[in-house]
Parts: sequence; structure tokens; C-alpha cells
Amino acid sequence: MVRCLLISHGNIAPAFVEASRRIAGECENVFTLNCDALGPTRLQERIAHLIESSHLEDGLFILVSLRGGSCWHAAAKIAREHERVKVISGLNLSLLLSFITKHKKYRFEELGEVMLADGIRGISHL
Amino acid sequence: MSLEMVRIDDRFIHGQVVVGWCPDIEPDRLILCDDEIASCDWESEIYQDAATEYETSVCTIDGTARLLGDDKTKKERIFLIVSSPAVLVRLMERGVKIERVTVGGMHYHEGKRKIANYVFIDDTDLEHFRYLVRNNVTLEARDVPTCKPVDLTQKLKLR
Repeated sequence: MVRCLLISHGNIAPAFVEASRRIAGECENVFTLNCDALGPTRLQERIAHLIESSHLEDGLFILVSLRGGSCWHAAAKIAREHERVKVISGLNLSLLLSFITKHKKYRFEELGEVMLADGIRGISHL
Repeated sequence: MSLEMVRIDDRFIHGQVVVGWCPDIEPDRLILCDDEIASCDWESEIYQDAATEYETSVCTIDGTARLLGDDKTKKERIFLIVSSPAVLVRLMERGVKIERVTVGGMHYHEGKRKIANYVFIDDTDLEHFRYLVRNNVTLEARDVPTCKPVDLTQKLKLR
């Protein structure tokens, strides 16, 4: 099963998961990590530990808010060491809902493209 | 070349830098000065990807001293980021002129003591700060532009 990890400062990640739960129901494949009390090295260690202990051979998407932010950096370094870990920045609800509703329908490689497209489609102005 | 900002931050380029300071400073170039990162291609690439709106150079200490003296950066507004005061001492020893240093983040490691929420130092750091102050550098702690600067020369009794 492909999984999804949201990493953020404060309550952003759990709040996104809660909002998505109200829209699309429970999703057991989504995890969150709060990076506030973790320096860069410890954050990387936590992500690596999660990957090693969670049978993520099917793949993992790490979603973060800010490209270039500290969560993004830690995730980018981990992704370099693991073939089946992809990092997507610009976390929004469309992106997360895309994962939740489509992760069983697509293969890992395709799912990344689909999520990115859905996330970008969610950003618009009227 | 004008050094618009010299920042000590062991996370280098991240949210506070890209979103917090860069719009204020409008640099032509970010220079991340670190021997270890500059010698690793993929890690350099990650930092270059972190602030795509701004030209970013990842350089060794020697490379930074060379780049700052180069014609290429002559008319540029530079935002220099290092991880520790030790790197600044070595840059100054190589002739780089620094007037003001802002400490934005020196995080906890064993043996370091807290002087602000985001600044932890040991005796070596203190010696390096003292070197900077002796060379007429204004030293402040300030993580984001909206935060009030803390005068480190006074706080650490460096004069």
C-alpha cells in the first residue's frame, strides 16, 4: 500500500488530515509529523525511522507546505536515499484528497503525477 | 559587491530566509558558504532548488572569498549565509570585509548553552564572536525581520 506523510510546523499537518477526514472519511495510510521540536538531523532521523519501520516498499509520498523550508529539506535528503519516496511541496487539501481518493487506483509513479496535477488544479483565482 | 546581509544559521536556506528575509533584502545572489555542502553535488543542488527565485551559489570558504572579489558580483546585492561564526572568522582572514552579522539560528548541540530561543553557543563560538567584535563587526541576534534585534555584543559582554 502506498502511504503518505505530511510534515509541518505546528498543527498544520493534523488539521489537514482532520479536514480531509470530514470530506473523504478515514484514511489509514496518511501519517503526520510535527517538525517544531526537531532540528534538521533529528527530523531526518525520524523520517528514516518511519520508513524503515513501516514497510513502505510500495512507496511513500511526503507532502510539505513550503519548497525550500526546513521540512522540505529533510524530506528532500531522505528522498535521495530512497527510490520509492517522493516529495511534493505546496501542500493543499486538493493534493491530499487526491492521494486519499486515488492511491489505490494508480501505480506509485503515476500517482505522483496525478496528485501534482490535482493539487495545482486546486489553485485558482476567480 | 555589497554584503546586504550576513547571517549565521545552521539550517542555511529555509523558510525564514526565503520567505522572511529575501523579500526585504531583495538580494541579487544568495551565497551559502560551507566547505562540506559545497563539496557534495547533490546537497548543493537541494539548496539551489530551495530558493529558485534567487540566484544561489554554494561555495567553499575559499570559493566564497574568491566570488566576493570577482567582477561578476561587483554590482550585486549579496545575502551571505554560513552555519557558524568560525566560518566568518576564516572569511575575514581571507580579506572579506564584514560590518554586520545577524545570528538567525544556532541550534542546540551537547555542550552548548542557550542565549536566546534560537541561539546556543559554546566557548569556541564565543571566541569567534569576540574576534568579530574586535574587528568592528556589529553583532545581533534576529531570526526574522519582524523580531526585535538583540545586541549580542552587549549580551555576551564582548567588549
